[in-house]
Amino acid sequence: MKIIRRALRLRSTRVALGLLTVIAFLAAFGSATAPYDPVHQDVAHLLAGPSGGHWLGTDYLGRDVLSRLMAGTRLSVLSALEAVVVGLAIGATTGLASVFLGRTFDYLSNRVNDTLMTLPTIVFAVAVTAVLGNRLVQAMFAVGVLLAPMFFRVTRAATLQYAQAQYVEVADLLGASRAHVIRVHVLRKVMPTVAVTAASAAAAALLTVSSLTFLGIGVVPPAPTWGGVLSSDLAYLSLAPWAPIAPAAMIMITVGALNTLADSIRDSSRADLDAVPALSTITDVNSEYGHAYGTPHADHPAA
Amino acid sequence: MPTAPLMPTTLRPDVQAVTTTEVLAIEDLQVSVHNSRLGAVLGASLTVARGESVGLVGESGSGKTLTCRAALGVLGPGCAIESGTVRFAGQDVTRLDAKAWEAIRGQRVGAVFQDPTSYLNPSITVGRQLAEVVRIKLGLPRRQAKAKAIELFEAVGLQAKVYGQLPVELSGGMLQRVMIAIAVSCDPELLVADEATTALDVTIQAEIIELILRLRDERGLAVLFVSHDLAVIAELCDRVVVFYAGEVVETGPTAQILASPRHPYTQALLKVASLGDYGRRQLDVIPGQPPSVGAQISGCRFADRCAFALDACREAPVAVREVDGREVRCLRAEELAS
Amino acid sequence: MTEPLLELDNVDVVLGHRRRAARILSAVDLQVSAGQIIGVIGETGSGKTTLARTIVGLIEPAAGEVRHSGLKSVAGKGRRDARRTGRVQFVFQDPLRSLDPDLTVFELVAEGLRIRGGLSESEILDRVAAALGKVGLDSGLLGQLPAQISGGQRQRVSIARALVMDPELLICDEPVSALDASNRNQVLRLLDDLRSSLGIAIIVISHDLSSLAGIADRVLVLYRGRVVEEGPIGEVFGAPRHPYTALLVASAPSLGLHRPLTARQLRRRTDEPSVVTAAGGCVFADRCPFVTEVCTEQPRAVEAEPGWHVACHHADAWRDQAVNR
Repeated sequence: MKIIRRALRLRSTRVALGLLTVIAFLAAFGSATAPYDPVHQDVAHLLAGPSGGHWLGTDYLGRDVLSRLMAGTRLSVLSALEAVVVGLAIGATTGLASVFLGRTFDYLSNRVNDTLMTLPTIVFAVAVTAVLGNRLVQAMFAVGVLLAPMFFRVTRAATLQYAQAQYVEVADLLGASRAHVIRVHVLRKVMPTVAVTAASAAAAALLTVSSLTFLGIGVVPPAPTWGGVLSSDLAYLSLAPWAPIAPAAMIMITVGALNTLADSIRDSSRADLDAVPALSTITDVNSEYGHAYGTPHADHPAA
Repeated sequence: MPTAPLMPTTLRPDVQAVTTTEVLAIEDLQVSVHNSRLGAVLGASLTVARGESVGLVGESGSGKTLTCRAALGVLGPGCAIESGTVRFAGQDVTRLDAKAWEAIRGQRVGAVFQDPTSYLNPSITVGRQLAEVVRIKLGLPRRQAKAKAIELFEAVGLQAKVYGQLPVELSGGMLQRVMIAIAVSCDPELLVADEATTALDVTIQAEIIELILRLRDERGLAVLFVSHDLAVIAELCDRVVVFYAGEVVETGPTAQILASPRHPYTQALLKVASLGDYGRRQLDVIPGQPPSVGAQISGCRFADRCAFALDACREAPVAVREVDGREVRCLRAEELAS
Repeated sequence: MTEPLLELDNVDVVLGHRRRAARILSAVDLQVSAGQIIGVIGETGSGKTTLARTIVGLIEPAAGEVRHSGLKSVAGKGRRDARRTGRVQFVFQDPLRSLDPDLTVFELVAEGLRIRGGLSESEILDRVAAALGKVGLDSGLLGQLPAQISGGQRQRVSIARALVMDPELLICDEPVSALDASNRNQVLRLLDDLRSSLGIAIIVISHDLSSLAGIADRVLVLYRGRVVEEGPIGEVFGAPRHPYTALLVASAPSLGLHRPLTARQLRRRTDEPSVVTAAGGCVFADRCPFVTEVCTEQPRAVEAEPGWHVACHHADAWRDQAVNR
């Protein structure tokens, strides 16, 4: 909570959140509020430039670009979210479990993750759609599986650090179950790290969605997506060189906002650490009593 | 304890020119923390003479460590000297820049802190680390630097074989001896020890205290020793400076202060310190908590915890006065003579 | 006769496996009865922390028995149940590390009750408030985080967390060594009060003699895994019968400056002859100035006076030698 409050004090966080709210609105109501039907073809205005009627112009079939971008938001964003949720669910839970379920599970889960990390995302997604059917849900599930190692590694590292804390040993002495230790002492400390990862994973997933739809994977025309719009615009670059700017900007702004958010969460949780040395300069140092070295008899050169 | 032949204590020409034996003189020092927002040291004066050991004692946050850091020119970020002077061997070092400090620290002032491991490189043998200091600071060639390092190790009661050992191979007490060897390697005039024995086992602590005393006597070192434990100070120091909430409340010879403290806080500290009596008894405590760092208090800063406080104590700041051969910051110092 | 709350009978502890195995404790006997405060003094490497962990069942002894109220306990499941009922509680040295920095005082103290279960939220609140009252903390602190309260208060919270479980035995590992003298005495006084008002037994483990001053009934001096001396604290520290205990007392800084023997008289000088001691020799032999040939064998603990045991071949003779050193 402290971290969220501190993050909100940063202007970059508020700007990023503002942009993401607009994107969320478009994802929810994009099709409904679009000025035109995104699949309606106006053959009289093919590849028209920006004008009062079509703010962002029209594409090669005369469809309104603004409407297609607004209506395409939902599919693009939801697909990215699907990948993140899948990655988080698989990665974070196995990451947590690898610390608590013993060495065999730890070893196996690490090797599986190493394997997943070697797979190229796009190729894997293409292969999965080839087997399971060319739909975005399947493709993004595959992308989510490949995002899991990212979550696995950060969750495992953070959990390892907190699972060895002395207060966890205290809880053990009180007879606490693993579930209690995870819920009370580990989860809330790991959350900021996972949140940062989720934000940057969302940005990566969005780029992947765009790439896949750009390649025509997972979407059946004429359904609009950001990547699809960008792809069709690029085909007519010589006739309408301004056209790719709008879809590219949508992708860039969203990815940028997500990365900014990730950064500010990370910086705000780090501020906790930064505060420590500043405090220790004013209090006298007698809180740490290290008895970490050697045995007492070793102090005697006579021995 | 093996006593190695010692190097003659040589005084540098510029020190000989100074007629006074005062090595360190701090006058009305004020140190602020958190970028000048809070005053943590609110007027500390003390002197340390050649061959004398002076102890700074006080609770956490009393300003003793900051005063000692200011004397070393190593105040942390956000901390600054607001007013007052620090004079080292007659030279005003209050506003010295980092480069000028380099010439003093290590050469003419040595320092030892609580945790020796954080000041030693874990992957280099302690002998090479000491020889490196000797080589750079004294300008000796490698071979002589090694001989000098071994000589120093023996002077602090370590065997020559320690030269080739890594910090992890040595115990806490031995590492602290290494730190002392580094601190006195350039034959400094002043040794500053900040909680240098706090983390050690009691039997080792006693040996380190004896070592510091021996170095003081043999080399005429001035020693500034900082500790939260009055009993340790009593073992080691000729004079005691008692800090409370950023101020020096009493300064005087150790024996006098132990026999008849003139400040109520010193009295209270004596009662709670270790008495060497381990049988069952009711332990004394000092009621209440010290004011937080930087608290604005119009009168005596100890008044709220003091059994002798009068209305007058709370009205105006209490000045330091000389009473019975020592300096006391208390209106009723005369009445407190026991 | 009632069984003592805790009994350690000839306990050996070995840590590590095979070639890296090291014997940390040898033949340790210890008895604690209700309402007693026992001090365990040991320096670095004495095995004092291992002793504490063995008592609470985190470590299984290689030989000997640990009995709680006469019942033999084994590390693992059975001990875990004993802990769950909360009869033995542990207070750690550094509350900054043993208190979760993200939990409030209320959540910290309530944790054990929640784990044990079976209480309503309002009952938990009542018990937490009562535990805080016992350690002299205001219930206004309930919503504070550990970083927002003082060092002395934090250690009291640790003690309250143990007390809320209604323990019979409290094991405190260096409970006051991170505190200054005034706070130290306050916490020691609190432990003394708890012993008399609640009748609980307390084991205080420390490297520092002043951590036991004024409150302990008996003291046990550990050196490299062995109990070298054990007896009533006033007598043991007043006139030690083991050279190591004497060295500890002489080395402890104190304002009472009259010392029958100085640390210097009790340390071996480098020029003094040493007896080569094999693995089976007296644990203190390589630091002891009074060492002779017989010290190549570990002395058994003998009862020098009723309730006062010492393990030294020269327990009666060394003092005269020391005075003349």
